[in-house]
Amino acid sequence: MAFELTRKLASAGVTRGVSEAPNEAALLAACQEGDEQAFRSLFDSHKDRVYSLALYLTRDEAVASDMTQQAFLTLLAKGKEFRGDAKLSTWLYRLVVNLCSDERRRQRRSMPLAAAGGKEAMSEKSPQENRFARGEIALAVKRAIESLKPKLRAPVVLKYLDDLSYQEISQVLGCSMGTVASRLNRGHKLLARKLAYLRASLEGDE
Amino acid sequence: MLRRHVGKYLSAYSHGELSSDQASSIAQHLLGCDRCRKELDEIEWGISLARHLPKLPAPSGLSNAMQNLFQSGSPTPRVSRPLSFPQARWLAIPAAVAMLGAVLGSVLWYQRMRDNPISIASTGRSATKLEVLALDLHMQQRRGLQQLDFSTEDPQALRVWAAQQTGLKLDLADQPAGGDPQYQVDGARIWPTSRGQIVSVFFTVDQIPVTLIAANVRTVAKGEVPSKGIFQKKIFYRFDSASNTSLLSWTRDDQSYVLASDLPNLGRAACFVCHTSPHRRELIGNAKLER
Repeated sequence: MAFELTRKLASAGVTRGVSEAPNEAALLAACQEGDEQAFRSLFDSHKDRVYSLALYLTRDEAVASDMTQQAFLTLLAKGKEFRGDAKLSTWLYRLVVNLCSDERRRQRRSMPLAAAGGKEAMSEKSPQENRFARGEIALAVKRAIESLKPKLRAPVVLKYLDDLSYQEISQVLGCSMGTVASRLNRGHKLLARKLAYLRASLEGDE
Repeated sequence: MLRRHVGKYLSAYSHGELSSDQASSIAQHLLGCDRCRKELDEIEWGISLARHLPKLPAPSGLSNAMQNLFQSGSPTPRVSRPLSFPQARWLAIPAAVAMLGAVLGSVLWYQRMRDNPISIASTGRSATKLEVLALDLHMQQRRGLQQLDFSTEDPQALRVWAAQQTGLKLDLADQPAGGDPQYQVDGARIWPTSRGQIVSVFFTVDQIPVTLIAANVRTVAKGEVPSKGIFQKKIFYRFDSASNTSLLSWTRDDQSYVLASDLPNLGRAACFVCHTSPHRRELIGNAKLER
């Protein structure tokens, strides 16, 4: 029996995108007319996720900063092409993925191990949790994800950075939903094997 | 119920990306298939790990840089144009000055190199697989979770074992007879790879854990072998601020090494486990970190 992934248009991601799109399209139009406040608002609401994606894909802080700037500049330059039928973030992610592919082709090299450190993992800890252990797990996960091949890393980061649906990931990466499913499957298995040693402590905590 | 195994659909199944009919067929299959249940367990463990993926905040300076670009009114990326001939002619003077500077710099560099035959350079290049392995194992060691193929406190026994099992030469110094041990060996583990074996040695210096990784250069990917250095012995330094770990990497006699430790001062005290000669210790201890 052959399976096809369902196109979950009503899933949280897409519904959220459609409801947010008009505001974002208006903000983008305002930016293009030189509204600084609108640009600030647009940039602030997307910068961390765009930068995170760029950093996970390039593994280089300086390159990730450049790519983030480049993505927003391209957004401003080509904003009129944004039709509002998808989330603006999805469009931005696609720009970043394309920029990173170009960069990888140019350099065929990527990033320092401790580029961003694990400090960011600390900020989301709840007070009830063991801060040290949780930070360490986030760090180990970050490293394991960074060690995945780019074609497996990209869907994993898109899935867990912004909880994109398979359809949205396929739009960002320009591949089929089946390919997304298959790459996520391989990514999950590799993560599970690389970090098998954490299982006892993580499940023990939970 | 599906007869064929459903492994490739399990992530989509866990993420709720399948239709209810498909999900129910898979659920039925799982009830009767031990192999797919095990695979689902592995994938769900992978998913629960991936959910810990940290978001990395954009640097604060990025907002200001973008704001400036926006205010400059030229949001389109700039494309540099080739210089015309009259402009290029004016570049001749700075080029000559730069060449002179390069010659002077080379002379100064050579003099400095002769004074200290060891260079420790901070590295910003990609983390190598050996470094990633060293850091992961070091984190296990820090938590007391390291696994050993050979457990011993005797450096001599460990040297012999590593040489017999892997052909790798580990120059761990003998402990001083009758004196306090300068370091405490815990044991070692062998990591087979498609190209050869890697050995990890776990020890402590002043009760601080240190992980040493050694592999033949043929085992390490070509681009990842740390340079030996031409005139100076080259050591590469990387600090992982998130885990407070110092990593030193180098190559000698066809073997590549990584030392991961929480020791202060670039973790150089860990080098003294092999380098016992006072002269060598002084050279390593005094070598400055080049950025």
